[in-house]
Amino acid sequence: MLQHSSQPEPLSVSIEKVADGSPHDFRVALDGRTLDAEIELAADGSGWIRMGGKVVRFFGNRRSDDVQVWYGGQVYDFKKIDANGPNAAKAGGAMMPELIAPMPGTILRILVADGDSLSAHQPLIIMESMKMEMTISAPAVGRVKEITCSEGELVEMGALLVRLDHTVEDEEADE
Amino acid sequence: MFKKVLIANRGEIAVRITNTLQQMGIAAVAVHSEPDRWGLHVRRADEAYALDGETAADTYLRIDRIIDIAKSCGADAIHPGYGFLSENAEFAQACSDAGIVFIGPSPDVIRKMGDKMIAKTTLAEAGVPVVPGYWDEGHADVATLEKEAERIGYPVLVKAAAGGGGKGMRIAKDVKELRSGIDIARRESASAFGDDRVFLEKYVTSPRHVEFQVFGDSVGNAVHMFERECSIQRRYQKIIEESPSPALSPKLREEMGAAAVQAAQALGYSGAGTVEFILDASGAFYFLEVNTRLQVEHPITEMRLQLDLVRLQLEVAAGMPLPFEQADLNPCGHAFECRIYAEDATRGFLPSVGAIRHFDAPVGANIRLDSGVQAGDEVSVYYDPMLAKLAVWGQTREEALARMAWALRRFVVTGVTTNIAFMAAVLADPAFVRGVYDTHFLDSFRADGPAELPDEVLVAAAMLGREKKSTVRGAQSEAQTSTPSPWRDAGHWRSA
Repeated sequence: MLQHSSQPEPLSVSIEKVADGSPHDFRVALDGRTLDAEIELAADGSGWIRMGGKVVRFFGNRRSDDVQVWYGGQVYDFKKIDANGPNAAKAGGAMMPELIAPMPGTILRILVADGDSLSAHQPLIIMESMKMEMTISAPAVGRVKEITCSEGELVEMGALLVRLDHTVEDEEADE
Repeated sequence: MFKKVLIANRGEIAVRITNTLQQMGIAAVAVHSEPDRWGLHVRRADEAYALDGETAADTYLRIDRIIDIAKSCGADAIHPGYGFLSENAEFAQACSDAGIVFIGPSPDVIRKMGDKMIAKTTLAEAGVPVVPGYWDEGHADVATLEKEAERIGYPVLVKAAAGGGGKGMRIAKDVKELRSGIDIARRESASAFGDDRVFLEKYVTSPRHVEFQVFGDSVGNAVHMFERECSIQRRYQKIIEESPSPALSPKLREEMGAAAVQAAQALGYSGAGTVEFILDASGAFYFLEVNTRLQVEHPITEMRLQLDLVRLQLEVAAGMPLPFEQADLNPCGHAFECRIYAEDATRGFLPSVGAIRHFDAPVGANIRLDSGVQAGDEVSVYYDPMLAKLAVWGQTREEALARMAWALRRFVVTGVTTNIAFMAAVLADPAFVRGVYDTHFLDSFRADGPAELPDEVLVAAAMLGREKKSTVRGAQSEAQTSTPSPWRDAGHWRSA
């Protein structure tokens, strides 16, 4: 399963080599559809896909479960999730449940409180780093579980700032 | 001419200066911080010396260390690039005290232009238009301020003398708003800064940022090299520039160019400088500031004039006169520059750090790349996240715009997030295409990401996410997938 960074639902994607085909022949299942493609993947992560009579170039970068694809001037970020794993059951389970400081800096303002419901891209925290103000926003719809920093605090890069909960609907259904 | 020049900078500008030095047969000396030890500017240089430390303050801003290195390696001049020490009068003075030529204007000019009030007064005295305003030194009464606002013309900006960051600042469209604005600004300022003095300034509606490249030499010549339109800004930083400006008529260009030369002459300016103006919708323009250095966006000027500004800087610094007069400068065609930043435009332009995996830039006639990085480099938290500048030239604006749009579409960077797709979206905006924009353009601009995921992307992602044989087998798998190069045996397919 693959979770695209801007889409709430993970996609079921599987790929297998065509048993009696050339080394480049693959069959890809995408949410119920099946596509046949010739794929050439070079050692540097770049490659070519021939599919439906069209040949295209792509560049890929994989770091453990993070897969990044450049195609046609756009970059797409995916997270690979185990179909049987704990995150797979919940949509959005692969979304960052914790927001960390992307740079070392000072927390200028905290715009939300514990328990607040959030809309996607809602600003949460304003911090200052490298003489620039930056806004840290909610990656998706959810709720603030816990704020773990305070205004005026100097934080290191990677410091935990906010714990989020993206499983709001599930919980509300349970209540 | 100099034999050896030290470049007190890093990244793309250090590489760009190195290129010109080497073409002129001058040895290029790099200095570098610890995180930059394998940087492109170090690898391209003829000699490189370490500035021990990581932060800018410990490295590229260390005047004493840089002068020591220049002396011990026998450099006869220092090029400061832009940023860091480039507009530091103390550094320019320290160079000259050490008998090393500072490539830039005199310490006195740098000092004057570094102080906004002095810069404004100096140039106003020289006849350069400045933003009209009124400075209330002695707690003027409201009636006086009303009269002054009338003279300046509404809308006016009421600013707290001690203010900053928007505190104690109000826009007033008429006398009624002025009264309440003064009241609020005074109250806010008194409580925040313990100072209730205010000043008035004309509020420029729909402002465009248009700057003129100027060049002076040590024998009193000064020319302008036409304008650069720099209104596409985020966080007060330019990201897309073009030349010529779509907003200037030939008459206005002539007026602004003359004002820029007037400024350079008034200062006795030597070397490369930029006179920045703010231009309103009616065509009125006001002096903003003088940048006493080479500007980031200088390539678009070079492309239109077929000049190498770094070479000219070196020649002027070596005491040579400018090799041309104003009438010899005839710019040709249209040029754009896009600044490639490692940042996420969808998350408030948050800088993105990490290792660059692919860095595959478009190439072709009339496409220029000034890059400070290459594939495999690490983008660190220590410095400005600008990776490179992409510039294109075309016979017409339309041609140049099409070329830039193509080049951005073809520019591959993976490993870190960049603003490439965001800039492509700006270039495709109908108002931008018509050339109708001001410095507020990006405030309201939203780039839509791709509407849906193309099948090709999903196929590529599936292929990249495919586990290798060894992974399926066992315990070492996790360590292996997290190594930086999981592609080594990508040709080794798992049998399905």
